[in-house]
Amino acid sequence: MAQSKTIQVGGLELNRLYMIIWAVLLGLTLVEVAIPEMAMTPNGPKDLAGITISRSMSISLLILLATAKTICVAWFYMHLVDERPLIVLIASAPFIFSVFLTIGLFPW
Amino acid sequence: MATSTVEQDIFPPLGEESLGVVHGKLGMWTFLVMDAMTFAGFLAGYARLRWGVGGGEVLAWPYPYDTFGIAGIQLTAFNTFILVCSSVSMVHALSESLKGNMKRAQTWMAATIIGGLIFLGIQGFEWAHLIKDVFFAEGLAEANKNFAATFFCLTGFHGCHVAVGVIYNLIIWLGMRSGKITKKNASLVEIAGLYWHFVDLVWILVFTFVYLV
Repeated sequence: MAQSKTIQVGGLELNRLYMIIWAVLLGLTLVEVAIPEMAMTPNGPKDLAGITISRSMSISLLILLATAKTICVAWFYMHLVDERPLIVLIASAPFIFSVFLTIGLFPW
Repeated sequence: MATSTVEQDIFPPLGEESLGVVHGKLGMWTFLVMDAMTFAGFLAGYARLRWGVGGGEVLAWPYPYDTFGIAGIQLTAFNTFILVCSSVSMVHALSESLKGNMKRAQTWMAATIIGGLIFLGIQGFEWAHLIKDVFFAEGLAEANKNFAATFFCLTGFHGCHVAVGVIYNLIIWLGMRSGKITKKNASLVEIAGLYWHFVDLVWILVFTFVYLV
């Protein structure tokens, strides 16, 4: 992360980019909160607006959305977009660790 | 991938550099990696216990969406909103610091601190409600015990990080106010921002896995 007279990332003025990411994060959070409403819960489907999705679909969507939000925060707010590859590599280490941990702990 | 037109040279370095990165930032990233692995352990433990309930019957686990009552998903979603907003105010604080607008940077930093305090207040309310009205009022079934243990460990550990972040940001705010933190050493704000965004990032995962899944 560094500075210039007009800080830009990908042609966008930085403050504007921050607000766009903020709106994206809020939008994704709203979708996330709505998904359990539509999913088959332990007490049956909530049936929001006539839409019902399976629990496995709900879990997959939630994990996908959480990953997207995490990447948005790390890439734009933690400025990995501007960082050296070394820092990106260091930041990726926990994700690799998490994948192996999940595989190792899964009750096969 | 976005192309950056940022002029790397203008950013004033703080201290020595290793591998082209200032020591402070490298140190913070190293710490965050270690911390992320700790959180990964907590989340993996949570997932393993949840998978194990009822011989693989996932639905035997207490479902926060139905059992949390007043401190339900909507309140926690609002808390997530607060934390995301405080992340935005943090990036604005850094942006203004880099431009040398320290008064505005102070205002944004104050907003970040207030966001953190609101988050902690709501989490405190949620804990009090869950302890008094949910977990101990109904007695703990075996699944509830595991759920309570992992839930309070995860959210408590994250809450500690938020509390430390608030103190950290308060120190940065005081530094700005006294004139010790200026455009010349704005990297201090950037390093504090890394920590704060990490706290937000972890909460995104905790919120999803503990409250929504």
